[in-house]
Amino acid sequence: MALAERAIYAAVLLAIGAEAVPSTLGHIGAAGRATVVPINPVVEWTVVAAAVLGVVALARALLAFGPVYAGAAARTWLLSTPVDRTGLLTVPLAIAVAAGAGLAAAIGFALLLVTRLGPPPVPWLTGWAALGAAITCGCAVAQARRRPVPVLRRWLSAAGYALTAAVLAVPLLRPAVPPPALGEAGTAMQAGALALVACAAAAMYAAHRHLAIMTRGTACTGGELALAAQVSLISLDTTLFWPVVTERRLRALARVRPAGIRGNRVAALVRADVARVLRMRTGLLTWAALLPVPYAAHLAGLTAFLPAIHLVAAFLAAYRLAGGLRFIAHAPALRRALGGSDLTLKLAHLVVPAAGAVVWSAVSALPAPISPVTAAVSAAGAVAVCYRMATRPPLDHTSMVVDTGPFGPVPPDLVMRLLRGPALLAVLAVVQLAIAG
Amino acid sequence: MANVTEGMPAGRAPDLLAVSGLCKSYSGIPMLRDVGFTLNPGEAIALVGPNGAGKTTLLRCVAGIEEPDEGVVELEGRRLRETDPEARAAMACLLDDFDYFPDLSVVDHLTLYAWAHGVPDPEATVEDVLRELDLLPLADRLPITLSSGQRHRFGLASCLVRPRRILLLDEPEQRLDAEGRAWLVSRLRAELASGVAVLFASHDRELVDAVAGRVIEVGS
Repeated sequence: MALAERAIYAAVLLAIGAEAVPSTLGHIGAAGRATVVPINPVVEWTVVAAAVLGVVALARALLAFGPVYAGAAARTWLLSTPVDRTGLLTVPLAIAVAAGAGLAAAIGFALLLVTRLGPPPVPWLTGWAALGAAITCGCAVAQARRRPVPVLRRWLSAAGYALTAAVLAVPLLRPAVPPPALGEAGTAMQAGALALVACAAAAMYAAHRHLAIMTRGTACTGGELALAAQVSLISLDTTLFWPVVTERRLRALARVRPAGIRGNRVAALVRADVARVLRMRTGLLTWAALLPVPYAAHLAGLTAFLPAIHLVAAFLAAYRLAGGLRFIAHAPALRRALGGSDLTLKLAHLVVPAAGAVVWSAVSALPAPISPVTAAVSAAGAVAVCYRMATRPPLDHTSMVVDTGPFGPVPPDLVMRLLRGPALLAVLAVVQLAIAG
Repeated sequence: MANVTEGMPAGRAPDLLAVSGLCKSYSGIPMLRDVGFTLNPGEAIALVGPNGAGKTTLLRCVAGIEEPDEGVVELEGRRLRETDPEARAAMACLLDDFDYFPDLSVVDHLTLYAWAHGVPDPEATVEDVLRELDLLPLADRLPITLSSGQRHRFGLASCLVRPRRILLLDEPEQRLDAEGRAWLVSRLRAELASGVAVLFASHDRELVDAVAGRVIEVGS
């Protein structure tokens, strides 16, 4: 029965995809472009740089999960039997390669949507998928050879930043150089895609051969993270996933410089919150990476929905800076130790996300056709939703269940808690659209 | 299951901490029944008893973390609420729910607590506490990288770096070596001498005998 249900969901998703992809690709053509404003080459180069960073982020994520991840049963076989490791781990490798190829293709697809580089879609997406597969296989080889993941991640980051800097340097140092006109490079594009496919095939062969030397230890390096991701997905509760990610990062960090906390009570709390944001820079990078989203949405022809998209992106950017608020809201022992009322503690930890929301809304509105009113509503709405989301009570999966007949049993309390924040965001998005007319 | 009641003399200033008629049960199983006692500045009460007797539950009720089924906990004559800033200013707690910001180092936490509570000379106080608890070499470490014993000392440091009138400690001798236990005895005596009231649960008879003026046998 469950299998039949999943088959139905898969069929629905495939149908949506089959409908959406050709229409989007059609939209990318000349007819779709007519409504889009001319694009500055700097923007094109920036998008290329973002793509480079996206690939690096993909590789880092794959390394965090393994990328070859053996489940509990497979791990037992690996530990206690002379099983054929290659045979046992081929399916996990195939899953990892498929995921890597799919995610890389998604990055390529996003580039198709928001740039005027105009490559032929089929070789372009094939090349991206092959690149993703090759990266995954490279990560699998590193995993099998027990290469230290923190070192690899640092190298990847350094390479990514260097490439990004190089890409961004081109329009700054040589403004006359146009972005690569991929639309005119049909044959070269196909050749490039074929070369990437060949690379991916070679990498797959190498990764498959390395499965034989995988041990239980190497096959479950990302086990904790994978389990947390699985449980979070099933229970719709990301609070189970992010602590594991954070713990891994902090263990790698281990020692830090003093945060320079001083000042009166509120100033000390805010300084500590700022220090946390600067120390765990992923939140700040995400905040910055979301800045071009409204403009990209405008380029993609979503101008009518721009106010709502601006609000949602403002919330996502600000929420990444609300780590302190989330901690303080869910740690009564910390509140007792810090003293003062719950409200003042929460408000002190709202300063950083609020400042982030205001700056983000103002800066991201500059290149896109977004009015000051829309930007102001986005900033205020993002802060309100941040507060609602960060301070929501922990999800209770054992709460009362009500049988709603055709929709089956529904836990109202769980649903209400899940909707705390997203519901306000949805209402505010509608308000934004209404204000924009 | 605890069943302890002490007489409370009338006609004087309210006790620093007064517990009366406290009852608490879980799933119909009584843990605390009609518990009452008072605690005043410079006094120490030890809660002793076997595992599961209700020592931690009693401490949690006193701290306001658990809502008792019946009974009252008062701080200077006012009903104690965990969210009350005055109660938070008065009580330094090291209970089983000790928590920390994962991305702030040991010294960052202590500095933050000192500034947040308005300690007159925060930097010097933090350094003294770090030195006293042998945490100086670990000052720049993130709490997640500490061992359980180091984390326990960090918890004790969090209580000692801030002003306090009552210390609530759940098995403070846990994970401390012999030298650490000796230090704990002298430190708690110093706390009592400076007028701080101490309520602690312990399995260490020597610590109890050395520090506590009164002993409440929980579960008897």
